[in-house]
Amino acid sequence: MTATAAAPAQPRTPRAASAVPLAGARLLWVELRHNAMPFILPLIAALLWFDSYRPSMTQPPVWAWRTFWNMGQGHTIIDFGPFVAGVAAWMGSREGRRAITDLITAAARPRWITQLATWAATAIWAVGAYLVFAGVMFGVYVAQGILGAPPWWWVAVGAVAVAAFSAAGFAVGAFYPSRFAAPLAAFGSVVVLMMSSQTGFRDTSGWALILPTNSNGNYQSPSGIFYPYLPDLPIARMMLLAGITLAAVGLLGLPSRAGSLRLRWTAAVVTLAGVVMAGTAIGLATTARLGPAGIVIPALHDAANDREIPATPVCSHTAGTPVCLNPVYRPYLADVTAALHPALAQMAGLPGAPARVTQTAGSYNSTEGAYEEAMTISGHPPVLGVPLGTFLLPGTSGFTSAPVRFADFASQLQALAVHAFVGAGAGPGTMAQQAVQAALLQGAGMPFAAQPKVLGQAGVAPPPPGAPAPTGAGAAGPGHDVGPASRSVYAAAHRLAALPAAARRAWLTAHLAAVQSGQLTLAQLP
Amino acid sequence: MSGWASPGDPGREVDLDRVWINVAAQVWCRQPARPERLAGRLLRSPGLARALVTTPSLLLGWVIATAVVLLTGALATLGTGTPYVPLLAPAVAAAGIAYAYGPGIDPAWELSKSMAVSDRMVLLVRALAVFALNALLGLAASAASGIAAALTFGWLLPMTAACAVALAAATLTRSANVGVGAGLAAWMIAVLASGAATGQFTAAVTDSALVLPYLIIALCGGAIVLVATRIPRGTS
Amino acid sequence: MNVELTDLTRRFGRTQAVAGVSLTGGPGVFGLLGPNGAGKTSLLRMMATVLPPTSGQMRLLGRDPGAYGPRREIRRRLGYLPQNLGYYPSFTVAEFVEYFALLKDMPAGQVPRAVATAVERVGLGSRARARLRTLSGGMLRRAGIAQAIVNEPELLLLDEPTAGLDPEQRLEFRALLREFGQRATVIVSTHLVEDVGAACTEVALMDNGRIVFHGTPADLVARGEGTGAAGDAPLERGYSAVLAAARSTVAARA
Repeated sequence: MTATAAAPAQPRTPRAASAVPLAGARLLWVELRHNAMPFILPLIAALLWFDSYRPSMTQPPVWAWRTFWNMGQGHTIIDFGPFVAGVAAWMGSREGRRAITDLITAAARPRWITQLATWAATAIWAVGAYLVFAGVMFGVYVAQGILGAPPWWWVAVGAVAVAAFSAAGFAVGAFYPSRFAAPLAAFGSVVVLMMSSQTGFRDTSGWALILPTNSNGNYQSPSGIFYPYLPDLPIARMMLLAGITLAAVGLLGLPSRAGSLRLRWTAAVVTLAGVVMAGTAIGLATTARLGPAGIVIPALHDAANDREIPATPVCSHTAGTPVCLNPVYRPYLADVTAALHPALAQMAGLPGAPARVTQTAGSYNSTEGAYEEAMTISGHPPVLGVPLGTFLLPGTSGFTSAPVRFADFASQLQALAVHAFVGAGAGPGTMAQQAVQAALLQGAGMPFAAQPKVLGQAGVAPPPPGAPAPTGAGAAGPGHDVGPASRSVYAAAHRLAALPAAARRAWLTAHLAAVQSGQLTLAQLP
Repeated sequence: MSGWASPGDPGREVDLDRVWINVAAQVWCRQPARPERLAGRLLRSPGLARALVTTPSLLLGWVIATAVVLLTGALATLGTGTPYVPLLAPAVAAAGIAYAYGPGIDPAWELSKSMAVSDRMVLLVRALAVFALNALLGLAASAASGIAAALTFGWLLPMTAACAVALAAATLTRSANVGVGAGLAAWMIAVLASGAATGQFTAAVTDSALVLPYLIIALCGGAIVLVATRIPRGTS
Repeated sequence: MNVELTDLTRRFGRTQAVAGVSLTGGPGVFGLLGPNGAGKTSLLRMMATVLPPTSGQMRLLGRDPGAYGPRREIRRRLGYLPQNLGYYPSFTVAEFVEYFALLKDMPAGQVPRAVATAVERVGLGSRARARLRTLSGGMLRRAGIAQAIVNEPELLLLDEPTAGLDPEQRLEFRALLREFGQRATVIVSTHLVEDVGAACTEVALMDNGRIVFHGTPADLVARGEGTGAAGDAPLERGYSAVLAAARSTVAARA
């Protein structure tokens, strides 16, 4: 080899500024066309239909009800997660399985960027499919005349969760390029989702609420009807999931073959940012607590979301009493009015009888973290508050039962309305209250024999014989026994019901206040 | 010894060659482990036994992973009362079956197809072994989690059906991952659909009305595998 | 005759990979030449009983591979090296060869010695206990050759066996072929003309699924003389001449 004069350096033609993003877009397009994710979408669609859509159709056409299971409890995430993670792991392991790592590393474009393109295509398919499937499901709901407000925040949580599963799965595949990477990622996701659903599922506060399918961290029955969906927890969950996503894709850029030193430092920063974001979200979640309108995280809470959604109630009249519901429940106005009519007719003209019936969000039990079914009569003039959100409406069913018949629905409403009227509160009430309640219900058309079952379903039945007497709510003042319902209660009720209508009304008019205050004993009934 | 030796090569001591070969045979010889020797005797084919012990889903790592998943389920059951083992075991077994055999997981598939030990026999033996191992692990986990006997054994038939779906899909598509996906999806659909209908997530395991469908699915899956792995007869 | 093919065809959808090939062969080394896509691999796969023919008749080692029993018997006496050899990265060389020896139904007692012999024959004795993932491409190919010859096959099918081998190893491989050819039928599919010339007693040239030449290497050389065909060596010129003639005949018919 002879020495020669060095050839003059050839000036490099700079790449056009537009060529870089164009090449990147073209690379992304190639990855989108050759991605494996589309092949798993039919399976996911089938699963979504069985698990997310079909169960929701047993619920009334109200957004909060229909989406409680699939969005609020994260079942769309459960349907997508394992499969997205598995396919993403398959895509991430592609370089290793096909032995093209050297080829990729030796290319001009940094290996991390190339991997990001592959992951981005995978995530676009997965998140796109999620949004399309959710969109179709919501479209069907809209076509069926669903009412209320859609839980957009929770849709966003699901989308970010799908992206997180794709990133985590991709990272598993990239670092473990084996043919076992896909099932490993899929089953790992199943275990993660299982633990997410079960950890702290009865907690009404604490870090466990941030887990993506924690069943307690969803919205309440008045959400989207009386109150807006609180964005506190969705924001925190999205922070956690976005943090996981960032950390996973950042990790890909850390190995020495990923690119230049500067690029790897960038990847380190991205990873750190993801970890910090996730950690912050968990920290915020430790301050979370379940409230009447949903999960409140003080640092993220906007007081404006505590205000009720302004709405003009829809009303009808029965037994001289207007019955007004939130406009979301317009389709059920006739049923509710018809259901309450017999009870309102019994109460009409009596002291303390409701001058108006209004749907309310209900009484929130902070210990249970849920709304109670109990109706209330309060104010001047008295207004009967009916928390319809806690009832199964006619024609709908829970996940396990047959569709609710109107007669059963009506019985429940009548029982609770009369229960509130006699002043029994949340418990079974005094024996005198129980007797008056029984007589009024019998007058409304509910035979004595049917009442124990209805009261039991309504959660206000007296405890069975031998059980300790109820204390607290329902307990009357000193000197009056509060004991289990007995033959004596129904005997007194029989006697009251047997009175001529005029005599009965006269007695009630004279003694109802004492009954409602719990001062009357069973012996003082006619 | 460098280069390629051939017997009778001039200049080489034939006796030394023979001695070296005998020594090398002893040094390089792999001693089959007891399970392989036992399998060889049972199956009456050392080749089949070797193919069995090299099943990807019977390798130690996979078995440990399976045990970990089932143990997690058992612990979750003890903690929450929800019987997870009957729900997990069929899915885990389906994945193991999909990874038992086939071009999706065997890099030397082309070569394996030309072997005297037929690939169908290998598939059958591996599938049975994987199924049996998963059944044993699942039963142990069920017993450890203290669930009722009906649940402890009730998932064996659903597991058979899920495995049949996974194996059929893996065989038809020549992809183990498709088999895993199909088996997992089918089982999840069965669990979630029956759970939504009855309110009990164990309905997929306990509902006697599902026995016949499971049997049909298992038989169909087996038939698909038999047809897909048949070797077309020659034309002469 | 170890190989008797009569009008063998194989279709993949609308593509006819092998179009009416007839061939007979006894002990010796038989070279199968042809450009990429000529159908060599498909023909070899059919002879390896991996791929069933679409039509035609085939008898290997005096048996019809269509039935299970005879096919199994053929496979016990068969050695096959596929073009794309997959391997198990965690296996050692010895374990890899032993695995396929067992799958060929070799008696277990004979396997260790047969493995040692095969591994030494391909010059991998010093790497016998090395894991396959640590081997170079050429060594992997030699491990593949070792598994093909471990059972002293009567029919040895090798598809692109010298890919990745260095020149010295190719010389030694040709010697191995000649040695095997003395008692077995060895069919080598390759597009490296010089391999065929050095080791083969008979040559067939395939193009578009058909055999367009069958004879000795000397006959192939003769076909190229005076034609001005392209090629740096006589065999290459013969190869080019035969292909050109075959393609012009096809064009004329079309």
